[in-house]
Amino acid sequence: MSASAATALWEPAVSDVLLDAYERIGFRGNALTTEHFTSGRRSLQFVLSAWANRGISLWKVVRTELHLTQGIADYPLDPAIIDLLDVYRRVVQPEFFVLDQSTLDDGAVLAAGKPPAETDFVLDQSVLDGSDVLAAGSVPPPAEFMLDQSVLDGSDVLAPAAPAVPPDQPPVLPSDQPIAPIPPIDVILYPISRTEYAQIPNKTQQGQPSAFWFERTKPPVLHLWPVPDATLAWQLVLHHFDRFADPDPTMGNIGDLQNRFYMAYVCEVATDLALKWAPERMAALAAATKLYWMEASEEDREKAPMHIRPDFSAFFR
Amino acid sequence: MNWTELVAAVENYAVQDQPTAEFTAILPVLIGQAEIRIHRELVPAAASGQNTSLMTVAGNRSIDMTAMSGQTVNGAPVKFSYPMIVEDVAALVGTSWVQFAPTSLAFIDQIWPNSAVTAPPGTPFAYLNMADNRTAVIAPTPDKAYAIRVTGVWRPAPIAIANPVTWLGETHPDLLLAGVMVEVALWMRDTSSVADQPQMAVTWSQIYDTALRSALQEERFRQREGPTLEAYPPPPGPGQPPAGR
Repeated sequence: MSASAATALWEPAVSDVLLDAYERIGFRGNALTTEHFTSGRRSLQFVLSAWANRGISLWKVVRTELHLTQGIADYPLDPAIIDLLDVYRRVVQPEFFVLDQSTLDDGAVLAAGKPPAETDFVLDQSVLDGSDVLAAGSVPPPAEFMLDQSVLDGSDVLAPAAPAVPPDQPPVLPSDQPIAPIPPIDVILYPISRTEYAQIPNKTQQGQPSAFWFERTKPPVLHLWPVPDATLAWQLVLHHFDRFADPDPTMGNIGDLQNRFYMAYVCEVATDLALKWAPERMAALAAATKLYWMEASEEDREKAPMHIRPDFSAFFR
Repeated sequence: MNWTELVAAVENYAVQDQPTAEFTAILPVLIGQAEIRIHRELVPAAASGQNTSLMTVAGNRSIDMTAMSGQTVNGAPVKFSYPMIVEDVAALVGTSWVQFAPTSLAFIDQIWPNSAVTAPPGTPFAYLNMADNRTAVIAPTPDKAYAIRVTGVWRPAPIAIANPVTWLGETHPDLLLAGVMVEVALWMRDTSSVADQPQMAVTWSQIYDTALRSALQEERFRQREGPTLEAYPPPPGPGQPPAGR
């Protein structure tokens, strides 16, 4: 009794895609010249550039977290980002805990690695080694230090802190209770257009960001409004649609594709090559490409119910 | 037909009761030329084979096929250690053979621009180009020594005193004799109407062509290309009798 293959991991090298595309226009691998290769390399890239205009490819939707700074409204983004899909602010980071001086044992003195004027300090292991005395330029107020649980040694026991701690109300941190992560609170931000952003009279007004303008420059820039204030530790979570990685056919590189798009890609590259090298084959290849693209793109979707309802809330505040 | 029988037949057909020293000296050359022509026009299954005597060299993308050894055709020696036609090359990676896909040298140079970088064949591809008639270039550059299996067609060593029994002489003696007689006729300059035997070369050429067609037909069957493997005819239409085969 024969067995089926044990793996389902096949991913073609970009060079194999190129070879297959040339075979589809009647060129065997041993007939390819340097000119064919360089032409094919361009086609590999151009096809993906065109695909980026056809909408979202789910495997290229990436989540990024962005730490916001008080008073900073503009955030240059990765040039690979094509479009922002969902943007929300998160007011507490669950992996961090707020503590004050009393939670550290052995007389360690916490100090600011950053000027005390800032409200959040992220400490790493190096600042909490036993011999380190964290000399402060000035005694920082409680609740101005944020550190990872892992940097604390066994004797340090932290207690949970409130997610939002106004500077004038230092938290009470009992030293004998284990700390619990603070659940995040996410608030969606709404996109606005360039014109709407331009219509905002005071673009430096600080508050809780509720809207963004995604300026599609190179690199793109995210403009927030209101500008983050000092009341909370702001984090922005972005879901964005990115460019495809450059299809490099050298040294065995693998293409930035999903299995369901292999046929569409190789056919479309072949169609582009046919335009240059075998125009008589182009019509048939274009028809096949259209079919394979439709099949793949119809499958490349989230299979969840979609609800459409009007939003009567303020567009932004 | 071995060497002795071939020489005797040629001398007989060429009416050389007492062959001259010149004829005796040139005869092996003529036989060799005839065999070369035959092997070009008839690629027998017997000359096909596989050889696993080569190994790759770590960090070296070239495979020198002249270092091949041990190849025979029907137990008889080959003229060159390397195949005349390379059909396939594979490398033994682990316990499996990884076939190299044929590509151009330009393609290999482009897709593996840094030949100092090494990887096992098949990771993620294995490409090969025959840079000349006996040197293969592969990509990726192998990271260690791998056994190489070469499938191809070898050129049998010509029939000679030292190599009296060959596949061609045993399997297609008529073709071999006709081929040699064409060369002999040309050497004897019996190609014009004013010669002693004006039709000798023409006649032997016709005999050769007939023998070649016959041998090719046999080889087609031997290489499973005969009519039994041809596509079935289309099914008859409604009301039509079945097509006979």
